[in-house]
Amino acid sequence: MAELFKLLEEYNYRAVAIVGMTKNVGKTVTLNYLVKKYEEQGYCLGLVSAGYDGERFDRLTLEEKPRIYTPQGAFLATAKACYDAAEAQLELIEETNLSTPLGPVYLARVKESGLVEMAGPGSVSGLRKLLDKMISLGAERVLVDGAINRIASASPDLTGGVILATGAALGPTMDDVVKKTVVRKALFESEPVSDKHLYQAASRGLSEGDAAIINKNASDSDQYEVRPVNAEIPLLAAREALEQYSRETEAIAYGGALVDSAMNNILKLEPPYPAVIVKDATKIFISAESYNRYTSRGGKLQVLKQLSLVAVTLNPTDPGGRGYDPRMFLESMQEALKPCPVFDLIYEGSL
Amino acid sequence: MDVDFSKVKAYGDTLNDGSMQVSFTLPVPAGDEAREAARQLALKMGLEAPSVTEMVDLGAGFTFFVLYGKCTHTVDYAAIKIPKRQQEVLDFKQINELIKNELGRKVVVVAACTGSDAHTVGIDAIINMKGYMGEYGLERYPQMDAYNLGSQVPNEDLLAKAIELKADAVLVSQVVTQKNIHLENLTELVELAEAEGLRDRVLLICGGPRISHELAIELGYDAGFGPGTLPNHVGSYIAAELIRREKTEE
Repeated sequence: MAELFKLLEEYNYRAVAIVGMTKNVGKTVTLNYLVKKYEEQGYCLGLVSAGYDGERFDRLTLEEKPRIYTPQGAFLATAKACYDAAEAQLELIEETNLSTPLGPVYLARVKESGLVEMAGPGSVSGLRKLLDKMISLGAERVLVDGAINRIASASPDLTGGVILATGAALGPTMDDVVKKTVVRKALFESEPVSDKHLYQAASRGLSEGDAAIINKNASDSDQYEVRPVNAEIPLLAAREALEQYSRETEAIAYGGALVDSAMNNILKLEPPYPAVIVKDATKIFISAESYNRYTSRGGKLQVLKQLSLVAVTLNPTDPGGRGYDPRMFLESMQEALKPCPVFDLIYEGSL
Repeated sequence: MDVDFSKVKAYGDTLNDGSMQVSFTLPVPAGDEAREAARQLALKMGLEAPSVTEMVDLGAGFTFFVLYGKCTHTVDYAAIKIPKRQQEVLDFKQINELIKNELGRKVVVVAACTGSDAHTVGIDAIINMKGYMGEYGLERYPQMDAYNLGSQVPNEDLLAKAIELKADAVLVSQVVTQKNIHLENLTELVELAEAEGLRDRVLLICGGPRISHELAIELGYDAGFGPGTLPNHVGSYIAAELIRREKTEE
């Protein structure tokens, strides 16, 4: 199998998100691998974290964790307290107006390579600002490291491609870990709305409302009737939208999060179910059970903007003590997730 | 006293003697063999000349020990760098005056224990009128409208209520254990807020016995408060951050 780095470079994304299924599944290992590769290839790199990375010990399990190496010339965004404590020599470019519990986020350039701790802003809008700044300053590649199981940084509005880290820490058995990862992959790879007219109808519905009911037009089967619904928050609009459901309803578009309670309400309807359309896969928060129930009975979960899942990386060990044979784990995941490329960077000797 | 900060040893009676006391329990019955087992364990821990000064039979085959010994290890204190932040802590009166003068409106705070968590003692200490350790809770603050939604509140409901009440800050309390479920309940609120387009509209604050600033950042919260937090610590943060945000928006 090709190398993860080469594979990623084929896509030529400016910004890439690394997100995890949970804690301790190897996000930082994947980040460090990519940083090293980018450094070897002479790229000007930007690094930002959606959470906190590079700490010496896990805050809950107290296990030792991999630290983050930043090469000379790279751009780095991190909270003031981490900037002050960095082992790498940093040069301050700007104190941003983004705040974190460890002080404002500093945008810096690495004068002399070394280890750092990265603490980023808690919002996607904050990440967006930092990313744009780094790119305008000349960063050719920006890596956005995720935190715990948060996936918002994978939004196609922020990053071009996504690498998903998963591992033994995710569940009690290998089977369970594989199943959960398969569902996450399926959700990430939710198909874009293929019907051009339906796509236009959903886009219009969500630009005018927080949710929308999309009905078939009785006289012209190519056209749709769009009913936008507004409320205090999109979740509430979605509840109201469902009250307007009729047999003519082709799809329901959700402008915010798609949650289990919304999906359960759809499952109470008589099949065939209406299609469910969300802005992108990072807005989907439904459980494997409701996803499987909906799709197995012909339901279609679609997105306006598709997310690009580049690859999945594995950590066969869990700090809790359990662990799987790396080869067996890798082969099981490759089989279950194909054709998505799967890597165990440590087992395969990439590090 | 001339301490070499690059090689710090434990202090007992004289500098660098390495003396320390340790205590632990072994799952063995009390006796001479148990005493020797404790001594050998201490040797493996790097304690020179360990002596068992106390051995207590706990019954059921358990024995408790106290030992003294000289620890041979040193730490490089000079090389330690810990990211930290100091936040200015104001008192009840100062916080209310600050809000009145700088914001000119009441601050709305909505608090809950989310998901399956029913441990309300933390959030009650911060919110409830009577407060904790002599510090009034946020409900008592004339410049704040504080709502305590109680326990086991689903994240969706908390967000909906926060928007309905036009909350400036949402406080979530969770007893985070090593089980990831509690962490994931906290991250879900942040992710839902993001997906709903509300992330920049409210301050998200988490609290609990295992919560630290660093963990709060990982979770995606604006602030995190751990053990020993008093209502005015949270109040100081909310007031200062809202004022800062209002100023940077201008």
